[in-house]
Amino acid sequence: MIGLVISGLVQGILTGLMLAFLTVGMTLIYRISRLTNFAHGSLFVVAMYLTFALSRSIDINPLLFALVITPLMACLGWALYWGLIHPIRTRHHLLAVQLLLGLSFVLDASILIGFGGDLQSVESPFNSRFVHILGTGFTMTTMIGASISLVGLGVLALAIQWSDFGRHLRAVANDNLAARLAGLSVERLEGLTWALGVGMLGIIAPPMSSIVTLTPDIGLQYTVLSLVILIVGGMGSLVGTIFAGLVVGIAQSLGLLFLPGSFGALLPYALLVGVLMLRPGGFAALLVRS
Amino acid sequence: MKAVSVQFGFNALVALAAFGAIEVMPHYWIGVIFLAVIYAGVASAWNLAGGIAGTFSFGHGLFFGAGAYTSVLLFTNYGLTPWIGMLAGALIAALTGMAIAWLAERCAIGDLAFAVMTLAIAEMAYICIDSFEPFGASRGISLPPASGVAAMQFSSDALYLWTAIAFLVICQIVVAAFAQSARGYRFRAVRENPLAAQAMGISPARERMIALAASGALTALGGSIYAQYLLFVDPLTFFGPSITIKVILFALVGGMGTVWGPVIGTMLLFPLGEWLRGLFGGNVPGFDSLLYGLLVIVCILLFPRGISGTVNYLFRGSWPLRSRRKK
Amino acid sequence: MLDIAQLSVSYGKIEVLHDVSMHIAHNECVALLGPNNAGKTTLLRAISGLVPAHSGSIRFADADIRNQRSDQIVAQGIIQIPEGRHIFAGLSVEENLLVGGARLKPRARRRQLDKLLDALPLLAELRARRAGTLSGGQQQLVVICRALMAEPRLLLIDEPTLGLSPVAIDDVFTTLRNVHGAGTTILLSEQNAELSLELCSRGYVMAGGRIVLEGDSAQLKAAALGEVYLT
Ligand SMILES: Nc1ncnc2c1ncn2[C@@H]1O[C@H](COP(=O)(O)OP(=O)(O)O)[C@@H](O)[C@H]1O
Ligand SMILES: [Mg+2]
Repeated sequence: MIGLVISGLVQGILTGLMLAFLTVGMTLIYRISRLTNFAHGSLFVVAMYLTFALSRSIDINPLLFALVITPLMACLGWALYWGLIHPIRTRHHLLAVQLLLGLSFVLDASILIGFGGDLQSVESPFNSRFVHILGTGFTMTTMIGASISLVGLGVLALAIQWSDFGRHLRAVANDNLAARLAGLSVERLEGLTWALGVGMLGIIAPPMSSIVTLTPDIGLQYTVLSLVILIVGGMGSLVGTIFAGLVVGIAQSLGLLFLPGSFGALLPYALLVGVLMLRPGGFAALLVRS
Repeated sequence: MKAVSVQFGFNALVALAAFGAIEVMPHYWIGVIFLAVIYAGVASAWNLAGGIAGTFSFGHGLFFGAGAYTSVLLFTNYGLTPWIGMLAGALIAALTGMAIAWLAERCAIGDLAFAVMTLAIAEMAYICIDSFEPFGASRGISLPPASGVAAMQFSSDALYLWTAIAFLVICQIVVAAFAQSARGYRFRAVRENPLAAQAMGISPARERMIALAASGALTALGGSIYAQYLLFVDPLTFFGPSITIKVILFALVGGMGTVWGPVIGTMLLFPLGEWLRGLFGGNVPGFDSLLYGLLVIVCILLFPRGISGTVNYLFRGSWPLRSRRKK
Repeated sequence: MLDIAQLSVSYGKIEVLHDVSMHIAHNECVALLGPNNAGKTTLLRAISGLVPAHSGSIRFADADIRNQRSDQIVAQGIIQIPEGRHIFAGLSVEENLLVGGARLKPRARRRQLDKLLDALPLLAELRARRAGTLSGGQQQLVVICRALMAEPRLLLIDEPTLGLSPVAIDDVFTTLRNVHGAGTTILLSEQNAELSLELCSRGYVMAGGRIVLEGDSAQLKAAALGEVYLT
């Protein structure tokens, strides 16, 4: 029993790290432009299918594809901002939400057309190598995915705190008008943030695509999961997002172990509603208070 | 109330024209139009809360499903006629809506958090129903055949369509009445600036509760009628997120916050989607929804005010279906 | 240095500035006076490219800057201190200043920062504090220094003393006098005519979106005694 709980916890932490990394792109975009990227999950699925396509044609370790997919996704994010978001940025934010939902239809449909609706998975040599933590074996893919996420989140946190880009991003999030008057090009920064936020999906997609089963219609699920983490984390807080990712990951994995049937899937949602009821600011409010 | 009577007259006119058309229409298109009308009603109902009162719910599937399941369960278990059962469903949905709005207001959460919270509540309901055996879990419930008007099971699809049209008319009357009454102004005040509204003595909590309750009740009616048409309910169709997403899309493309926008949006987009599916769905799966998504993107980029809002903007009041009286 | 001719500006369909013309010479300090809603803020925003101007011209150092992007205008040395103390509340004082110097090369930025902090030991003490936790007067000082970080050629200042205590108002004006003394051209929008006319040599009076009076400080002070709109 105790062993089961511990292995569930470790699994939850590993998954949680990856979920946090998956969400943090959405967090950055929300933070700088107050926009929720409702195509986030679909873009992630696109990145996973890119991994799948590459892994079928080139026979190397799929984790290496991140080197190609990340810049591709970053360009896509940048183009998305200038093509779709920038023209309507002064309109109601729900308009952008619908636009991005429309985009997610397009992305999901393109995947369906390109790859068909069958279940797919990406073979990785790391899937059959195991690392033992506290008596439970985890695949090398999971370990690497979680490590990449941990390092990535750390680097990002440092960059936000210490680099010019990070400082400017925080300035725009703090006070848009003052940032403009300080000579920052807010549009350019928003475009870069979209490139960063979407590009990061290209880093996490290769490991994730060898962990989960791919179908073209899972985009919305990932969007919703990221939204839950974003809000539980306190909307825009980097540290909050990391905490929320871990909590959701742990809740999910313990729920799978101990709750009957599909009730485990309830947990992230219940967590969201619970946190909103108790502390509308999410974890970020908790952190600031203490 | 002049505008209401104009709208009523317009409804009657449309009904008259439709009467002739429906009698000669092929079976397939009656089905499509039935669905379009139901969606139009629900889009309009969503718009009452989301568009006019600024209470963006992403969980209208909850109300739709609650209406459908209530009337179906009352009928299969107690033999209660769906005509009354759907009112019970509407009542339950209204109370749920009120509770959600109250909770949200009590915790003072923002727009986005509210949207995602309603989404989460609807998803939880979906997951629960999906594994709740007494309600048939994911298999759903089939209605026992019992033809007759009392059981709301008609011999011809045209009669279902008429029921749906009646539902749409009710939705439009309710929404128009709300929009043009003092309450409608309070809704808009809350949408534009809750703090300022509060300073004027308006209670945002109360207005939002009323908006979401009315919106939920209307949505539930739509769910009941749709269930009677299908003779079947299942969690995915009724509680799933897709109905909410579609309905918000229709309202937005048509013109959010206007009385007729959602109906116009649905009447354009829904048949178009069906047509695309008929054209491409068979040979290239996914191609229709690709085109559909592109169309939505183009619509939003071209008419950021929505179709109805753009028309209002261009014609500045000379448009007979003006959705708001002059400010 | 700055030449504005027949400038008209609208918000949506409502025109709020009508045919405004104004001239500021190098090294001048010019006051912009007028009651609430006269259009002072709108004029400054139009100069900084935050609201589009639909007719007229704005020329700075003989180049047309009307309807350039705000970051291009900042790049030419027109720096605005906006109304209402827009401070980056979540950033530290030092970070606020660094953002102010965003257009400088990293080394030049550091040098400028050190120079300003040397000149204002008060700020040097506060450099690690979160700007949101400072008092109103301290915040205004940070905002002024943030603008100075960009090495302004023309400084536009919008009601810097709004809501400050008399002591803090004195501090602000002392700082502005030093800035002007160091050779920066200033356009100062203020409701407090007396103080600003002491600092500036010349001024314009706006009302209802137009310039209704202009002249040197002595003339305006004399007029102020008779006119209500200069209070
Ligand atoms: N964002 C805005 N939208 C519409 N009208 C505005 C806006 N800002 C200011 N105004 C109007 O423009 C006029 C001038 O305002 P403003 O420039 O702020 O004056 P001042 O700074 O002299 O007090 C006022 O009548 C005000 O109501
Ligand atoms: Mg002003």
